Amino acid sequence: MDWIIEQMKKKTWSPYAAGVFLGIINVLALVLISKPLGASTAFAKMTSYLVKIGSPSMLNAMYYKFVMPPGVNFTVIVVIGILIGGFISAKMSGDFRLRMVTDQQWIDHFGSSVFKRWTLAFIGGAMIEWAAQLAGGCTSGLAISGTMQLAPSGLIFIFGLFASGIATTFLLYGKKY
Amino acid sequence: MEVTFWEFFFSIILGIGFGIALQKAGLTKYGTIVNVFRFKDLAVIKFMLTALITAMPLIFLLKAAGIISLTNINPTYIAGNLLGGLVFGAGMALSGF
Repeated sequence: MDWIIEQMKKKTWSPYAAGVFLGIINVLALVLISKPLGASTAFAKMTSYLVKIGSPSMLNAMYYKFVMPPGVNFTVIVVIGILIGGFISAKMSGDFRLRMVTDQQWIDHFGSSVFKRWTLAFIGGAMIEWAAQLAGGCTSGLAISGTMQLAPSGLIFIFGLFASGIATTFLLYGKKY
Repeated sequence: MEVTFWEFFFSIILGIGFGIALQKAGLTKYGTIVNVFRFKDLAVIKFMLTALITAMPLIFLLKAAGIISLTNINPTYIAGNLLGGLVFGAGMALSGF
């Protein structure tokens, strides 16, 4: 128990150790609840729920009837768990703070405008969720959970991810790449 | 609520573990995500590949022993997976999420 608390108080773990931990968690997910872990479906389910509250007549569309009916499925609970886990982990290592603009690296390169950060974060987030629903999962649901079951879709997704990530970073950072 | 009690219980615990793993590996920082695309901080690749290397043999051993069966494999459709991956990568590079 003391060893656990001591590990939790560290600010960073080796990515290899954290990776082994995550691999075990993914296998346990298949064993305990027979479903792979994912994150993007949670946000789509919650959006369907907002549609149900806001304009229920839209729920007759095919998408909301068959692909993404509103409701709370296990992925929503997993995402809530991720939030709690991240919070506990940051609190225990003293790294938790609320802030308006992210890392120093962003400030060095893009300036410290809150409006700029929030707008670009919003656009990036919208792109991520749209792309995840198009591809059938996000990094955890498709790239990790898909590839670990040897689905070709996971590998295609990872390829596209790194290709455009490198290209976009090159465009954004220009000479300081 | 479409979850059973045990699904809820295990999902919360697995989610908490997932969150801890992500935060300790540093993947919650903008810098960590963007720097892998600049080949300066390969933590994302180390993390993802180690998870895959640990999970794959365990899964296929458990499958051979009959303990689990792979019913939920993500469907492969090249156009969607590829286009999704491309836009996803751009979004990651832009926002750092």
